[in-house]
Formats: sequence, C-alpha cells, structure tokens
Amino acid sequence: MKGFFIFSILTVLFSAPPIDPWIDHSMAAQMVIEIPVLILLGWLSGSKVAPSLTIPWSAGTLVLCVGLVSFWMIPRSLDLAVSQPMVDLLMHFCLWVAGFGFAASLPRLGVITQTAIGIYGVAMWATFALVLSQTAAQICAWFSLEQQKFAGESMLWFAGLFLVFHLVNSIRLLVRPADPLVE
Amino acid sequence: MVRITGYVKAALPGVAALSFVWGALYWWTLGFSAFSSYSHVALSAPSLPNRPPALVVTDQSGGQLRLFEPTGSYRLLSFGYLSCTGTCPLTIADFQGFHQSLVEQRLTNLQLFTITLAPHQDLPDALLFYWENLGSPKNWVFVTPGLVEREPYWESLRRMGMWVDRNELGQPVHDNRTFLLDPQGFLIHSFAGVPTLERVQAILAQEDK
Repeated sequence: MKGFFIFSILTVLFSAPPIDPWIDHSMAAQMVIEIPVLILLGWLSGSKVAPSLTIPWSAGTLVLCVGLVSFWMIPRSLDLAVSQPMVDLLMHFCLWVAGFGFAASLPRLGVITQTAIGIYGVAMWATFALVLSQTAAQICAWFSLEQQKFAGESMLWFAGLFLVFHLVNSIRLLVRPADPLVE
Repeated sequence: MVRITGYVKAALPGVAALSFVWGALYWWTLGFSAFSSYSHVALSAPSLPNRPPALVVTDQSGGQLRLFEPTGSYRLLSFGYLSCTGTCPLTIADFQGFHQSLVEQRLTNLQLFTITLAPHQDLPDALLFYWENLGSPKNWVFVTPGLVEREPYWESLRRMGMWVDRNELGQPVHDNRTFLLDPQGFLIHSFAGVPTLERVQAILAQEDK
C-alpha cells in the first residue's frame, strides 16, 4: 500500500506546476514524456495493489484501458487537453487509471495476451509517430507543423526503445515459471 | 450447451467493453471521419450549399458591405489577422499567387476577401496599410466585422466550418480554410487551404451548368 501512495503522489506532482505547464508547451514532451510516464505511474501504482484486488473481468478491463489510451491519442482530444486545464487534468487521471487497469488486468491474462498487447501498443505508437512526422498538414491545432514533425520523429525513436523493451520483457515472461495470477 | 453458455458468459464483459469503446470513439470522431479539431468543426457545419448568418463588414477603405448577400459575383473568403505568425503569411502568399493568376487570365467574376479574426486589432487603417503594401490589388479586399464581440463572431465562423479559438495570449488560433460563395451569397464550397484557380474554375463551370 505504501508503494501505491508513493506512486500516486508522484502522479500528482507530475500533473502539477511547474512540470505539467512545461510539458504542455511542447508536443514532443506531451507525446514521449507525459503520456508514457502517466501510464507507467498508473501501472506502478496498480502493481502494488492489484495482486490483492479481485478483478472479475480482466479482458473487459483491458479493452477499456486500451480504449482510454486510444481516446487521448486522438488529436482532437489532445487539443482539448492543451487548451482547457480541466480536460488536461482529466487526461492525466484517465491515463493513470489506464496504467492502473493494465497492471490489474494484463498479468491475469497470460503471456500470449501480454505479448500481443505489447506488439499492438508499439505498432499503434509507431503508426501515430509516422503519421505525425510525415503528414504535411497540421493535425493538432495547438502545435505548429514543426513541433508536430519533431514530436513524430521523437516518437519514432521511442518506438525503437519500446520495441526493444517489449522483446526483452516478452522473453522474460516466456522463460519464467507460470504466474499464479493467470486466469 | 452448458459449455457454449459458459463461453458466451466469459466473453460477454469483453464484448460489452469493446462495444462501448467502439461506440464512444465512433461518436467522438463523427463516425471515424473527424480526428482533428479542424475536421470536427468542418464536418459539424451544415451541409453545402447554405447561407451563413448575415455579416456586415468594413473594407480597408471604410466601405461597408454585407458579406453573405447577393452581389452578382463569386467570392473566395480566407481568414487571418495581421500580426499572425502561424499559417496566415502562407495563406496570404497563396492568395497573392491566386490573385496573380486571376489578373493574368483577366477573370473578373471572382472577388477575393481576407477577413480578420482579430477585429479589435486589425482596424481599417491597418488593413489599408497592409493592402497597399501588397500593391493595392483591385479585386482583393481586406475586411473587418468592426468592433464586435469576439466569441459570438468566432462562433458564427465555426458554424461555417472554420475552427478558431484563442491561445493563452488571447490571440486567435485557427484553421486555414477557404470558402467559396456564389453570386447569391450561398456558401457552395469549403477548401482546406487556398485552392488553385484551376480547381475553382472547375467548380464554377459545374455551378454554371
């Protein structure tokens, strides 16, 4: 429980000034720092309490979490988060909840599902990175075309890192003994 | 049978969650067709052709005109403001190219309008100065709706399909959409950016039929 509170407090600090306004000024920082860090903090918070929780519908929880992250990857949603502080706060909360949900549901769904979701996540991330870096039109209204291209290129670099991490993690999951949490 | 019922029961929460996510994303993106703020406002606008609400504007010389009233000629409208450092200079440059093509082809049935999004900053004097710096183009006017309240004015533009909002400094942030009006003052086409003259001529040829 102590770990849960520590990571939750870190989330609040991350979502407050001066960090949040600084991040909100740059599209690249939003995409490669804010979104992954909030999901990670949610995951870390969730992983401290999830084993003791009873989650009856892991697949449903997982789908809702993927949907939640997908929603905030839509440029229109991101525009609203940049222009309206309350929506920005809602985005932070949703991404943290999504991370929490991933931690609560993924370990229960087995190695194959975890690996598949990882591949899907990296592919979705890389596709969005390519769209941002290659499109000649401005996609997010609040950021310039230069910021958009830079964000896309930064995301592509991180896609490589995520892929390596995912491969290493998948191998680790495949070689370790079966998890008692798996349904 | 019991086994099948068991499978259905097990799959139900996942399918329900998937349906919810699918439906929510479908609604939010207007049927997976509007992912950006620009396209959402453009697709939420009434279908074309339509007549936008009346807008009385003042041109750079101080003359008043009603923008969406019949005038007998086609009009191409673009939006921006003089101190804009975003897409406005590019739109103005594209409009200059468009105007040059009009002059070269001696077309007089199409009038160009640049409408300010910052009416409290871009007064007629400033518009006149800018217009003169562009070489006082004959059938291209810079207009302002006057000292109107900004939010209702912008809302009327949003209803046309033009996304506009304000940044933290209070300056307009906007789409670079261009609109074509027919001689009766009906909005007949909306372009992302400034179209080529050939494209506009093709649309006008279709209209004339």
